Amino acid sequence: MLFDARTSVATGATLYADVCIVGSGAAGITLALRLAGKGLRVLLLEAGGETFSNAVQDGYRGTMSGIDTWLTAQMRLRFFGGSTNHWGGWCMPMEREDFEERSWIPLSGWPITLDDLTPYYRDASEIVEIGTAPWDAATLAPLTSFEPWPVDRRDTLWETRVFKFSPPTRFATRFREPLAAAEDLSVFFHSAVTEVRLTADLSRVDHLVVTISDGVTVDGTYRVQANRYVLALGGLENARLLLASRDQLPNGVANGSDFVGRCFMEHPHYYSSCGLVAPDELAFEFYTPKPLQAPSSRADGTDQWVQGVWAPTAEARRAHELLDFTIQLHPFPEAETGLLGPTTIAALFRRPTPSLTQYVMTLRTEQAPDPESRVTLTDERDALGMPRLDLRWLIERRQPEALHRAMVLAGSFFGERGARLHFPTDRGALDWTALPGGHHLGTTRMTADPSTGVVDANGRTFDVPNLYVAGSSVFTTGGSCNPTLTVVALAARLADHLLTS
Amino acid sequence: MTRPSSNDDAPRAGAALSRRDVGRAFLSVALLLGLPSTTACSDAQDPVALDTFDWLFRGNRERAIRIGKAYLDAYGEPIAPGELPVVAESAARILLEEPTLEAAATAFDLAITDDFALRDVVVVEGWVLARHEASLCALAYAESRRA
Repeated sequence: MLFDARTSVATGATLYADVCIVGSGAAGITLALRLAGKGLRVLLLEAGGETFSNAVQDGYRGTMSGIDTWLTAQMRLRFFGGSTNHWGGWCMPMEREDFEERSWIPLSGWPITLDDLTPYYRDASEIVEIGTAPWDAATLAPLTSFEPWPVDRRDTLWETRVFKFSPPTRFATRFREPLAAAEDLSVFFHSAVTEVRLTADLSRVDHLVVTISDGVTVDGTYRVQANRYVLALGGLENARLLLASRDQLPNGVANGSDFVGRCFMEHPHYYSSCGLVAPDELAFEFYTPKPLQAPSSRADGTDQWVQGVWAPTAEARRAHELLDFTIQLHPFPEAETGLLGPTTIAALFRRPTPSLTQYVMTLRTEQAPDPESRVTLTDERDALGMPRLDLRWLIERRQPEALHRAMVLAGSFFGERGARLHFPTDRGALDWTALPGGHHLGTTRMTADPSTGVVDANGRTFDVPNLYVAGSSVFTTGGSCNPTLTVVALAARLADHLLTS
Repeated sequence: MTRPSSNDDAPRAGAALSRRDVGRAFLSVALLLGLPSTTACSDAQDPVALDTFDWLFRGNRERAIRIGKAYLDAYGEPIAPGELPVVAESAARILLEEPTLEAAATAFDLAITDDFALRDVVVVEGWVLARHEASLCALAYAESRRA
């Protein structure tokens, strides 16, 4: 059932549940639907309403004290469906090596493996409507009529990966009816959790304090008492709520390690820092968006779109101590290239009138965990009395060096095939400008070691056994691919854990 | 450095070359401008006067010179007029060892592909270039300084 707390919950009331899920985005809705009908009473709380409201959204406003190429209120949405309401639909599973400890990336290493997530990636693919076509580029190629670039036997450093595009699935739209119809599942709108309250001995969550509000006025508060609680508020808000719940513990709830809010990661996007000049005969078709041929269309008959990207192999990342990244090209005749322009570089092709195309490159990169890249609280409060957040997004200082090494490798790869690549250097006119992907990772990180993380392999907080966290904030490291598919897969896995534990 | 007095001083194609040999050979106008061309240069009225680099870069010699200068600037090797930059030696070897310009062009193509495959590259003003193509540009620049 769906309820508006403003008209259906009395202030001071207490609602009871077996599982209370806070946040109705991709993780929260996935979790709720997987738990529904399994004999558990499930509550799903959403701070916003069924539609967007500027007043509610204002609760996401904060400050940026590090890299400030975006605003904290822009990259996420606070209403039913959460940020899936503006999701672009890019889907790709993380790489096997993304889960492993990598000696050149401090604090890397998930407590789970790709194998742990593989069955849930299949479930997640169904949830976000991307079908069952293979992820492997060579196997997928016959369904596109185009071929990925062959990788020379000598070249074990590059591979083609595939993005699949969700329609994109708007979770609130697609799952409203199943949520409304689900047995023992109640969704409450205008219900913002403003405090996680622990028992007197601080060993468990006793209840949540829920503020009833339209974002402008506070109509009162109510409590939720549950056996287990799952925070699924997004990569910034999970940390904000835990840090703001500091009446009983000065550092906030579940923060014995002091890692709540730390290791914030994005996927730094470099949209036109790098480029390529390539002979026209080079075929890039596999690396542009295209529909799959039937029978791989979606169940509703619409086309399933895919796109290839280039990426370094695990061997390349290991040998050259690289963070993961992908390369995508866009034709762009007027692209800046620095001191030596493409006309000059055309001389290198040693043809009378070379027919060339200039491209700009989108690099989606992994970011190394850095404890100083973090969410903290400010003294300013929002309409609900919650401290606003400050986000200090920092990129680890060695990242430009790693990008330099990566681009030398990429330049060699493309050069062998007849193209020439350029990237920012100290003397060039271009620079590395990190723009966000809108992916907020790492602030309640999943680890094996409680001293360097917040949640365990199942998403349960180390400090509070009946408190779980879902969503991108649990990412230990981020890989280079868009996170929604992994967020949904992790939520599905957490649901199984909650059902069986 | 002095210009060789006769062709007898020029190293023979295919022979092992010392750096000094290459440097001396570089100064030979006959070697640099006189490599015979069997096809593409057949229309040239005066093959001997044919500009090697203009031919190799298909009329884009000036652009190649700009790249060569940027390469030398980046890799910090000041040269005097008539001096062979160290980084230009690999290109000079190919020019000296190949019997024709076409053969030299083919050899450069292969060398450049191999460079990229082996990641034997240099970064010039942000461009990732094969060592041999950068070397050839450096040679073109040095030749322009000598002329």
